[in-house]
Amino acid sequence: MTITRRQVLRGTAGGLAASVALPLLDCMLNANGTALASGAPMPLRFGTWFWGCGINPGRWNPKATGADYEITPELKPIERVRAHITVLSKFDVLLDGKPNFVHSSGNLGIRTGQAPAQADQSELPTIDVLISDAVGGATRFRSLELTASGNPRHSYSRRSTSVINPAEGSPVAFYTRLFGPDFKDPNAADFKPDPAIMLRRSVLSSVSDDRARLAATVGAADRARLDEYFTSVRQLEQQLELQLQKPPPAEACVIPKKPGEGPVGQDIEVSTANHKVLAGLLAMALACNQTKVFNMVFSDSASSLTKAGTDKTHHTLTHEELADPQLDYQPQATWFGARSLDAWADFVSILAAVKEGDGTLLDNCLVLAHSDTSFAKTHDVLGIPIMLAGRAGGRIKTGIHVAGNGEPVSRVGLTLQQIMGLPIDRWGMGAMQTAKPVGEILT
Amino acid sequence: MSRLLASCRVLTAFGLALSLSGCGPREPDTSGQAPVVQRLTEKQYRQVIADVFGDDIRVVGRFEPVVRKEGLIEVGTNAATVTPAGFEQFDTMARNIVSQLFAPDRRDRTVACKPAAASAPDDACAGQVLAKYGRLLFRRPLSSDELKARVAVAHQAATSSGSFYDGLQFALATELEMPEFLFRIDTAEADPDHPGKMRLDAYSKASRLSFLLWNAAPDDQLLSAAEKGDLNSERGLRQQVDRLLASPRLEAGIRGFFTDMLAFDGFENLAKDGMIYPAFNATVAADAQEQTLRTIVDLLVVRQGDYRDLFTTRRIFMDRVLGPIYYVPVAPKHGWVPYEFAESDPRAGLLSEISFTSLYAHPGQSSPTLRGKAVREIFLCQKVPAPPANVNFAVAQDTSNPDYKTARARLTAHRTNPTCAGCHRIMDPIGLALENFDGIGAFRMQENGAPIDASGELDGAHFANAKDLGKAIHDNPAAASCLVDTLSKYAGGQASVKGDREWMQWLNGRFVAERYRVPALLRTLALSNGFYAIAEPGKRTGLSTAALRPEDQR
Amino acid sequence: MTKLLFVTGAVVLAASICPPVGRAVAQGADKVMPPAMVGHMRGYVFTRFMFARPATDLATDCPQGLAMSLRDSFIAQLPPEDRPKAEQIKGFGPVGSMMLATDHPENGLKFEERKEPPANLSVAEREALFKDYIRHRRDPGRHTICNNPADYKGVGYRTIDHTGTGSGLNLDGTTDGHATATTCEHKKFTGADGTPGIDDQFWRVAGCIAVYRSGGLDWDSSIRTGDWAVLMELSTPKDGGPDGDVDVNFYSSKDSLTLDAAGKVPAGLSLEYIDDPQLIAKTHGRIERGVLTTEPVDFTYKYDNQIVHERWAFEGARFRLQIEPDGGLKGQMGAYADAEKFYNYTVKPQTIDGANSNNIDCPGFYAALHTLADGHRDPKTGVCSAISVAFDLQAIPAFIIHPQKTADAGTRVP
Repeated sequence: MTITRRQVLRGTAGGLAASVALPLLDCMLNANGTALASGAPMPLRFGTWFWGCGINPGRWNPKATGADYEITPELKPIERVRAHITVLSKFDVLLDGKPNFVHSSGNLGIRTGQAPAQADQSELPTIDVLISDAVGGATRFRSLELTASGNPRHSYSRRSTSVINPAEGSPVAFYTRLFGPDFKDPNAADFKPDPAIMLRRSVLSSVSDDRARLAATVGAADRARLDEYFTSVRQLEQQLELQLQKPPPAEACVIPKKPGEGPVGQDIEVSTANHKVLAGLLAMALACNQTKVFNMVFSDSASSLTKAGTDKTHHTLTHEELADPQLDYQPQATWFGARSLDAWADFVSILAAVKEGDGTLLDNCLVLAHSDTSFAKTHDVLGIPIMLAGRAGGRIKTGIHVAGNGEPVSRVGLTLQQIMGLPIDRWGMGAMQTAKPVGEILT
Repeated sequence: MSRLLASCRVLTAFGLALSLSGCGPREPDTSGQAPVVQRLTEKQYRQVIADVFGDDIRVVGRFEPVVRKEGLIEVGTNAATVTPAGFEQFDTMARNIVSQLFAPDRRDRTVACKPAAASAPDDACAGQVLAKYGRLLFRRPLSSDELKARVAVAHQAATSSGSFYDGLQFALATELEMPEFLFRIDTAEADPDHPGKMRLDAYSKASRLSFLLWNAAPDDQLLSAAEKGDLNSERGLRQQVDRLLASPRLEAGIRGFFTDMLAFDGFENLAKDGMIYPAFNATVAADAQEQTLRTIVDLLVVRQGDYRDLFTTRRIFMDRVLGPIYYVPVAPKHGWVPYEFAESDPRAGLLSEISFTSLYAHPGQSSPTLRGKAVREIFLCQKVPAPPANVNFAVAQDTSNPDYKTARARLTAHRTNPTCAGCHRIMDPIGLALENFDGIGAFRMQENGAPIDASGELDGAHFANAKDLGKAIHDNPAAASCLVDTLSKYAGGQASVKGDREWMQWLNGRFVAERYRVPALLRTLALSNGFYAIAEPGKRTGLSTAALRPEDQR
Repeated sequence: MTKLLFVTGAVVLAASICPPVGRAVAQGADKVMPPAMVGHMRGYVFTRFMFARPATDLATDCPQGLAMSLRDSFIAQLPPEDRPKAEQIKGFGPVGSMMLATDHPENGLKFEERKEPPANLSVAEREALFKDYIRHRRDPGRHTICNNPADYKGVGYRTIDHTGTGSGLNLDGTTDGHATATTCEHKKFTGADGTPGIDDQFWRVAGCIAVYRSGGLDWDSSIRTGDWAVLMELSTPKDGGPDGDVDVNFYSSKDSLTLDAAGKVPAGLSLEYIDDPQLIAKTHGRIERGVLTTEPVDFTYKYDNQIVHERWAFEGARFRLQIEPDGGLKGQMGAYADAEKFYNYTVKPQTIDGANSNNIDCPGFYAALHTLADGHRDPKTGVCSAISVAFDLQAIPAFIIHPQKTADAGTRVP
């Protein structure tokens, strides 16, 4: 049987169910409740989550593999979301003879499949950009970048060294961008294409008129940059096109309340609070199909997190704090690491709290969480802690621990891209080139 | 060569103490620079809008950050593009700007002509408006094809919306989103004086000149000079250069350069611990920058002073916001007042100003290493190698050891351990001289009860305190040559190449001969061949011969 | 053995439960406020300027208990048969009306009668009437028990009577408070450090009122909201050392104080003073072993707090200020204030409502001010019309800016 959206909504006062979560009626799903009745599968989302300055490997790496791995002292923060997470330990960034650029080689190694030859420079796009290029075209935003630190430069979503997708740090600005005047509620009763949008869209296409002539007048490198610019123009045209069509219903989509203005920054309490607000907004953005790819930075790679009244940042502590002779680790630095993983558990919980289909939003997500080092004091890029969250629509196993035993971390990147449907059989460069996905996590 | 000497004699005859440019060694040839494609910075964008449309037009939106290259945003813009998020913002800004311009009380100022009918397209009037603003926004006249395309947009939009003004509004918005506006794109033409070679066309020259001297797009007069071909003659170019240099708008150019060189964009995300430094807040940060820029403008432009004196000058500007941090009285309740530190005062020069000491410090403490590194890289153009990843911290300092009260004590390992010392002795002694200035630049005699020892050494020159450090930098030849190098990188949007070494030496020599005066250096640069020389096809980047502009496109 | 294990366990537990605080940055030794020099004068701004409160206990100061409120003491003086009915009347408005009605029938109110507005008024009309009513009640010209306290009799007003611990300075030069040519006989206090001969008659008047004893009315909080401040200039001692004779000037600030992120007034603010001779006082003093004492001076300052805008005038003010290790000043002012005016500064602006909420009995307070007045003796009548008051003071360095000639910047300092 088919029930139209209109029939469901007729009973609602005013017609617009803007603030009412519509229940997902069984008849809108297929027999298994795993796909929409129209046959289209639930959208699959990819995201990354980053925190700076790693962990203490001896206290983080579990010994047992599989589903019964032990919760080590530094995995304690994720115990509450253990079922949603896959822990990947001891996968290494192989420097391939290049210097270890502090707080850069590890991060870029994981995200581009190659350790950079110069600090903070890579002409390879990061994994999220590769994925958003492949799957991000049909949504309003090709990808969304967020940071809990408030600094738009804290983004590791890069097409190249100089082309970085800026991160949103202000909850209010993020809300306005997502749910402000240009938002089209997928669950709205009736839909009329806005003539103003039609006009904007047709006018915008004239901006790219001169593309060919311009390309002919500039050098190759500049041409690539102008190409990226024109792609950005096209992305906006795409957004406007989508606004002219009735969006497919998004059952879990509930327009959230606008957050209040508040401080932004890297005081641990401020970052933690803003992170929660941004994650909540992001969850709704995903549920409302505004994007399929997202990137969240909790703290930057040389973590500048601070605690009010103390004079050293997280990063400074990782270098200057002496290990407590009885505990055998640096208490204050480790505290920041624990708080960071606590925030990661928050993030996972927030995505898991949104019901979607017969499960949750998180079930239809694939999130890659990682840091820039394992042991920050020595900038160790071996065994950088990696965790995945979400079942990727049933494509991966969660709740297990896989030990890489020195395998290149590019195997993880390869696996993730393949899960997201990219037609690649190998990834990574030099010593990190690999054709072997991490089979243990595939269903 | 004889023309050079003749002008020397003429100048000398008039006893002009001014720039003796034209006299001295001849400018060497260069291999030329690659043509640039530079995205407008936030400041430049805002300035263009204010210049073209008026100060009262609000620019509302966020500009995506530019990644620094060669230590400069200006070079970074030559590698930047516009991301989807960035273009969303430019689109929002453009629509917002035009809606202000076409508001009922302003529309007649924006549109000088009257359409035949308000509800229908009028290509003639639309064309007039779009050509006028297009010229200023694109920094060159629109070609007839370009104008036709813009008018077509206005026509179609007017038809769809049933309003001439709405249609024109949409078309004007596109001019604010087109790459010709958002990017400064060098265009080359065949050089009639050197057959087979290319040169920058007059508009590209105008653009380069205007952004260097005013950090703004060429004004109508400069564009007209370009149109008339004046910029291709020595005399015509000199007229425009001198006009721009004599204008009060030179201050904006100086500010633009130093804001970039000193990396003041770091203030955007600078936070200090509110419990350790309760005196610091956003207003202090903003005023600290303004104070330093005023000091610089006053010394370099108003007083036509020696650039090196920036490191020793006791003259500064104060306001009531900064008074308590410097601990000096400030008479007027609002605004800035010139202030001179006494001879005995520990402060003198840029390094003792809050903008420098607070920017290069941690949220909760000072940082000799950050400050030393900044001095080396910004003021002496000396690259400090990246820290090694696997530092052996077995010898690391014990911060809870009661003996290690000052930064000097805590950084002992930096200086004594061979692995660390190699790089740290390049940075730490400089930064340690500034330890009398805490994490926000306030003066202190002791740290944790222990007296601060601010002595050190810079490339063999010993000093006892921050003021002596300033003198040591003043006397260090690298300081002046670094400024020349940085300025020429800024001016050209790229690093200089090995082949330009002779030219750089020449420019350095001019700077010294001009007694280190920056406006004179700017003049030399703006009148030089090297500033405008572009690389031959294939020499630097792939500059295609298809860059020729057909004559009828003017 | 067990004990040792326990201790070790506690250490480990503590480390894991309590987030480490990092090294909290040492304040104190590093945070000395240098003198704020303008020319050869050192400047200060008073961040605390409030009635001195000795650390004494209520039982000693007020054996009968805290002072009765206006309402309670008013009811106590009604005929017994009217008291129960009066007890029923609660709320400031009705209480005020009650007092007006019974003492001044010409106000047109009878006991318990309140002028209720007629029922058929619109909301706007009611609001206007109410505003009018409030304005009237705040009208200093209207005859009320707090505007005209002399017309009423206080009932059993409680004052501090002992000669034990108090706080302040010795103003009349005597140890026992006997009458002199300029002062009247009165009791003295002894300082907490044993210093005899403290004069603070105002404390006797107000010390049994709760809001004067602690917290409550924070008389100087409006310093920190930028409403007013007293400034002081000190010359450097003539011999050059830390001790010696100095010139001392007092001013009222024209500029508001600003607070830092910790909510404190930072040292080193630049503050211009009000160029009004009435608000400028100059005297001499002496610094000895880190303590500044001044010669008596007539001193008036501008005081602003919500609806109160007054110039508080003091005669024969003496200052005793300790130079603290951190560069600030801490001490006291002792001075004589005209009793009548002082009532007008302190209680009168509060109106009946304020007095009631602060448990201040207006006629009692007023009468006590006059009874206990110990200064400004009238040679003919022998009656004293001024009362000694002690203030607790704290100051931090500030740059005192002399009035600017022109409005715009450019004038050199000072």
